[in-house]
Amino acid sequence: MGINKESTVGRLFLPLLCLGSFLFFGIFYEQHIYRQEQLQLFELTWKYLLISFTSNGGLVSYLGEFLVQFFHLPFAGAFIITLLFYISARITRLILLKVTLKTPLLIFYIVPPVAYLILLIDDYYLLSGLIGLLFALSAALLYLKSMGIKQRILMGIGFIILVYWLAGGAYLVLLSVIILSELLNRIGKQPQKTPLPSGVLLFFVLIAAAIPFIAREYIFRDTILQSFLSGSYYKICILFPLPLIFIFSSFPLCILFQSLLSESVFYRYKGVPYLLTIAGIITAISASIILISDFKEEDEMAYENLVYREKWGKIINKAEIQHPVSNISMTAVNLALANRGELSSKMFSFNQNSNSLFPVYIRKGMTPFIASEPFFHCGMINFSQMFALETIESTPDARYPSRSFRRAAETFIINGQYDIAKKYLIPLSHTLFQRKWAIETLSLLSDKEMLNKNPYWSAKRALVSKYDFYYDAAKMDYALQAVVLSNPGNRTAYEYLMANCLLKKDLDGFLRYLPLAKRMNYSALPLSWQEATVYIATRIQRIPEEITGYSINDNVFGGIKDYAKLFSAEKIDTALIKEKFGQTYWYYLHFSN
Amino acid sequence: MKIVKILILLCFLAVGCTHSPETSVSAGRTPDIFPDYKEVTIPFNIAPLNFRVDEDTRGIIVKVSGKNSSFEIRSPDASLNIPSKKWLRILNENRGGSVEIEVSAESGGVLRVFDPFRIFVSRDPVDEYLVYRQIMPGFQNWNQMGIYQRSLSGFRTETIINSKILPGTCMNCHSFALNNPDNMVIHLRESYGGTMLYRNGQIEKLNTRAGTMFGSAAFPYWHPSAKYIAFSVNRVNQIFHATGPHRAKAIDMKSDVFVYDIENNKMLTSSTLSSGDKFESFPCFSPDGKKLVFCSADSVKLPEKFESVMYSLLSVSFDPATGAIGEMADTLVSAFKSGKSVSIPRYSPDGKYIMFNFADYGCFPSYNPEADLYLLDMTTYNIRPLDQLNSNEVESYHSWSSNGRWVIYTSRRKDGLYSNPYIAHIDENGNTGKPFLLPQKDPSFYDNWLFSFNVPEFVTGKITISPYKIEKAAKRSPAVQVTPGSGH
Repeated sequence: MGINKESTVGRLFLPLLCLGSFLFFGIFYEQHIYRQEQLQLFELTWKYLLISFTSNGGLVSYLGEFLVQFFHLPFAGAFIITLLFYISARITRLILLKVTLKTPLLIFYIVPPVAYLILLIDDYYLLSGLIGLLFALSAALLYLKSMGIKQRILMGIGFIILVYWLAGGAYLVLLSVIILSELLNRIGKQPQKTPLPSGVLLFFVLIAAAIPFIAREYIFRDTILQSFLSGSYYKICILFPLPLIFIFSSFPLCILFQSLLSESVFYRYKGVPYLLTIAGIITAISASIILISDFKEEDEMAYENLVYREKWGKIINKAEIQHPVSNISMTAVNLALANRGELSSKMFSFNQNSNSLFPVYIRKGMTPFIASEPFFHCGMINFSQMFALETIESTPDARYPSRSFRRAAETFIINGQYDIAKKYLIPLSHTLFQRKWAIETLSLLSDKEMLNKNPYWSAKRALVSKYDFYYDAAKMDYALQAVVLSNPGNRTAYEYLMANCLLKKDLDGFLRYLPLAKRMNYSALPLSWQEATVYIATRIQRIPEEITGYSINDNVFGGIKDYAKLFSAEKIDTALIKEKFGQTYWYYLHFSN
Repeated sequence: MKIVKILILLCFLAVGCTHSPETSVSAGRTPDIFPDYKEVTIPFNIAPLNFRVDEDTRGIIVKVSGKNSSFEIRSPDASLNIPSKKWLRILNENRGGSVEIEVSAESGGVLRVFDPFRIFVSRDPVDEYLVYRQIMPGFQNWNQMGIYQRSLSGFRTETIINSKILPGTCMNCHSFALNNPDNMVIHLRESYGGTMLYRNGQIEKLNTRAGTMFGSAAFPYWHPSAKYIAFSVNRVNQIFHATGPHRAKAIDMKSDVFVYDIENNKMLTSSTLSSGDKFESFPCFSPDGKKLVFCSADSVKLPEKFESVMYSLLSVSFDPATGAIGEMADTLVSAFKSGKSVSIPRYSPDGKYIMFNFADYGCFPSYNPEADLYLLDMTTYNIRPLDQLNSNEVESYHSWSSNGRWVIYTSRRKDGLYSNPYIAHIDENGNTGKPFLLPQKDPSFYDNWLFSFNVPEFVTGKITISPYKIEKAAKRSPAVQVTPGSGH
């Protein structure tokens, strides 16, 4: 392998990494990418742009949010991330080339951009950070290209301040590249440049150290850490972003490493060190991906995102291929089944638990989007609103989540609070992908007659309970009963009511609400209700009168006899019962925790 | 220079060439505007009352006329942005009188001239600053809370403390001794919980949970001597309605009143203020410092009977020299007799009145749509509703200006959800003027603003302590422990 110039392997390495990045974010991590758009509300207005200039890093946050809007589209997020990674890698390569003038060791240029790429797998790190890094690297490259002392001094001061203000924390990368290049220049690494005096370098450092303090005193109010880094890089400002600091440090370290490493090692051993370096980088990438990525969450997000798009059929198909286990996924599956009118007939085909209808609200981290969904579809609009507003106020970076804005607006419209709904609709009307819906809805609000005639809104309003009650997670049956009695056409709520009784193992409640099936126009009893009914019949020694008018399938009668035999055996064979009856209510009743 | 001159000329030409309507007609009525500033009474040192003309228009011309002068503003849209200097000058010239606002709106080549309306300019100045908490109308979570100060003669708003500086911390219950910005108390909960006491340029963090108190001190009111602060300690629960526009209720599950003796670092109480079978809340000292009024209700089974909790307004004596709290409470307003529940009593600075909230039940009026403001005359003990200040929606937290001629209060009247600040004039006889919504630079501000204004308090000057000093003190651990004492 020739090493007097960059090898073929080296040239191919970046495109291959780009391909890997595109596939990873486009296929394996697409749900995380898709969700990012829901977690922000980018307004394409002059006002929003101007506001971005009022804090450090504001412009890259603006640009980051602008690009994240497109994450709504398939593969767009993966493409944008990969493109930004590619550009940052190319600029880093140019910087290393400019500072060290060594081609053979150039492979190290890949390390910092790849590290940032991997960091983006973590939900708490932002795309705007990569853009900020690009700003800093571009400024560093321009600085390195300038030759004159005066020019470099002016550029150094100007760029440090400019990059600090527009790109936030990445100005530290710029500063480190400037200082290091000047120091290397002093030891004769770049003979064609006259070194800057030490006082100037010290001045650069002082400026860089002082501007965050000056800015937080006179321009904005923020913590010291955020005054240095800004909110463009990571979401949880109370935590120290150690990985980010490592990545920032890796730029000067790579320059230093490349400058100090002897080329002779590479010449002596031909391509072996080169290939070993590449193998090391690939291993590090693989290990980091395994450590950082969360595929369990990816699966949950897939369900949440399908709920967002109301793709009920896809949710059920997905669940049938691989039964979900988490509460969030099961909430989505049950909601999909209820919307398709299949909850009562299919629910025990999946791994149910007593909390899989309404996710348990734990005040820890961000309130999940899905918390609002079952309430919305059942007609408990105020509770849906409560969770939508809770989500708005619980995003870790205090950005407005567009998905919850939309849900909040919908609930206020259903409640007839149009002025409040407009507060949420107007920002949505400035977005790229919610714009059409928001503008159409705003125009409906100005014509109340049209709004009242609109089939979507009138159907949603018809679901709302006529009876008031209070939120109590432990008494959802009362809530659902009130909603069902208010509107006998609300089958989703009725399916939820019956499912809630079954999952809570409240057979008295089940029997109490069973006669409502006639009012709800059920022509036949769904399977799980038949199973519960025959189970009750075994306990009270008769068929309960509550099912009058409905029949029980012979298979169900036969099934419970077989089940009873296995269940009453001297030694219960749980595995066999699960194999034969794992998808029945009886199994859930006796064996679920 | 030549280029500059040409540019100036072009600008003049551009102004001169703006489309002029062909005809003008009288509209025969005053225009619809937002906020409604028609016939309001304002202080002469208030920021411009910018408003939006809610009429079909392509542009507006507004003439502001006083006794001796006037000026005109043209706007290419329906929003009016009045220049501050001109505005303050004309208000100053017309103290005790009124200014007249005439709006002309252009539409379809016709200029409709609306009947002018007046704005009454009081001789009484309002305090220089307003301090308030900014909070979204959520339930349990928050990520953008803050306490801010706003100059009332302009629009500049500055941070006192917010969630950016103290992430994960709930901040509330800011209070000042006699509207003095140098004597301030703020209560923090969660991440950096504690009571921040700012006095004589020094800030310290207190752990006010002393002795048998079941929680930390909240809902403060300073003694006029600035040597004591009365607090109530409340355990509050929220419940959420399934239907209707009023989503939540707050229930006081348990509450007591205490008096903090600042000099001796002692938390004083007595059986009158902290009775086991009663809820006591929202204390307030009289301006002479010799009385302490508070709300009191019989305890009932909660949350089941929360709609039957009715607070009366009681008064006990207080000796500022010793901190002794009276053992007998007088009933100033009886919940039993009135059939209403009292909350947030606030003495006027001259001691002649107590302004308070009346609601059907409970002591958190911001959750009761029927909650209104009332005035108790301390000479006749007559109670009357402040009709001009009230609306069909919630009227809640209120406070007096240092001169006692202005009150600021929050109301959800605009949309039923967001609390906005209204300022009203009140004369020495307790007569009120029409209140006005706190003016903003952008007249449409309240249409788009996603936060409520909470606990508005007038202060006589700017709060000078840096947010970072508050942050540093809040992060200090351990806090100064307040010790229990006796008010007997």
